[in-house]
Amino acid sequence: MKQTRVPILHGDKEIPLDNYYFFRSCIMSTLFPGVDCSLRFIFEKLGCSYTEDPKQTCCSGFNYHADIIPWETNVTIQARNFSLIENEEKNKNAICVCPTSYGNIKECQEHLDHYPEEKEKANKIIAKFGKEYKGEAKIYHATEVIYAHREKLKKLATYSLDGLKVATHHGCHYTKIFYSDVATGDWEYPIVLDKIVENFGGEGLDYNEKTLCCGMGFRHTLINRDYTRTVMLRKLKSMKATKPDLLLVQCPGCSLNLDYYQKPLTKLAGEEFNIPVLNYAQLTALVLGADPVKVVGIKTHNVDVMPFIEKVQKNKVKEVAQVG
Amino acid sequence: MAEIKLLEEKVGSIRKKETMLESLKEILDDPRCPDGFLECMQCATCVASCPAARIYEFNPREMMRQLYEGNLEELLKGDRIWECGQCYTCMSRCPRGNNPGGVIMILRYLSCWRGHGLKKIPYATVLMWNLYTKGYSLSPDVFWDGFIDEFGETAVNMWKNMKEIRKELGYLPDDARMEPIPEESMKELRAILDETLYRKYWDNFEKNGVAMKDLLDHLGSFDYYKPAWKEEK
Repeated sequence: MKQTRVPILHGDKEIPLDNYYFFRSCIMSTLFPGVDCSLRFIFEKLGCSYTEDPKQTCCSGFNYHADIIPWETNVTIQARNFSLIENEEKNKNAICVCPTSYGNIKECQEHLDHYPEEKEKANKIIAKFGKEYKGEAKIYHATEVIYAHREKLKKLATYSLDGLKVATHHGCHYTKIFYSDVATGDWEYPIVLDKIVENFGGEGLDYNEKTLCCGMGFRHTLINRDYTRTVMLRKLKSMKATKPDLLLVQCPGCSLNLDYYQKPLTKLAGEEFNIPVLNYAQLTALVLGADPVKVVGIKTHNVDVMPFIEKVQKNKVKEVAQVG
Repeated sequence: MAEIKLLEEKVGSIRKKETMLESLKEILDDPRCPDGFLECMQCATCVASCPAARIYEFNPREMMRQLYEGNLEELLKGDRIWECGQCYTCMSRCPRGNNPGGVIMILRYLSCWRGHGLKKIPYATVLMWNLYTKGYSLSPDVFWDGFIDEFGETAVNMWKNMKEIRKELGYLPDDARMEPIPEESMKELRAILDETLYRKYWDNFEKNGVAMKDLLDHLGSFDYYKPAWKEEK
């Protein structure tokens, strides 16, 4: 199988260049379905083989961090999902679009591999419908994959991000749970998104609160919103000071807060933020020439992304007809 | 004499450690208990890194100390454990391999089993129900009915067109997916939920009569939710 190595904190890790199992996320597909569409668009442009499995269920990571699912249940759900991945003929590399999926299913896998008796217990339950977790599934986050394909993607790019300044926000559950496994950079200063931006000719911005959590807190975003608003205000103010053209995010939960909160917080902040927000896959698809509405799905965004897209479309590097 | 006194002190501290371990048995037995759970040296790196500590009087260092002193029950009854934002900055920075955020998750879980924490998660039955019936924790209908008002006019107006926007992108309007999950897979998922502690945990909310009332107070209308619930029961 084709693969490449990317640096992590100590040494490097292998990222496969083909054969993906698209591990969908409940919150991403609920709020930003354009990210899924963009990722499919990217895989097709790269000519990668991928599986999208209707049988895959939620990883239940949202419920897990919102304290409403017992650990045992979470692990067994994952054992079933892993068995689906392992049953694939070729596409055995799970690609998570959401950092919480990544953190949660990786934690479950570590648990199942570490405690043979727990694995047996989970397997006993899923054996009732003829499934078994063997321990072969591999887990990656989609940003790592895009980073691994950077050279090919640069060649495929229709537009460049020349002269554009992009602030980035990495998901805590990608950078901080498996903190020694962060592809490029480390948990204190993750740069995988900045590298994606730089690859297309843009500039990744540094700002004070770069590693501050978005304040989602799972339960907080649902019922304890003072917390979320306060963290968000701090984050957005620090970001706004660097005058970014775009805010690039990795996680659907962060996208929700960073995009949806900009307008309601205007009064409290005493300034207008108006920073367009895109996800890694959406930006990459856009640069590859995807349709902003039909593929990137900009209508699902609160802050208008069109001004940024117009700036990008001025930087044409290649004459390619727009693909829908 | 001095030597005997020293020895007595040592034995005393060992005994103290034993009682401490006894009171923390539930946490130590949890498979998620971090390797460095008993290694905290009270350096407060976690507090300095914690977004919740900036906002509340939330203090993970203090909570670890309270645990070692045997105040588990007090912590489980209190509000403090519910202030953590689950960002895990404490875990990535802890010099002793501890994970205060993870320990807090275990505490919340214990608190719910004891019945104290149920009021703190009024949304629980909605999301539990959602996973049980749709195979997804979150879906567009939950978001629309309960949570969108928070984000103001633009978001509300956008969500009025959300079903159309989703269709344009090839997605189902009320389900998070492009195509529905096969009934076979839902049966498998329900089998897992029924065989593990999920149903018991759920009944815990139901039994205490907390969730349903709080839910309605908090979220107002969940029309789709009530009849379906009744049907299942």
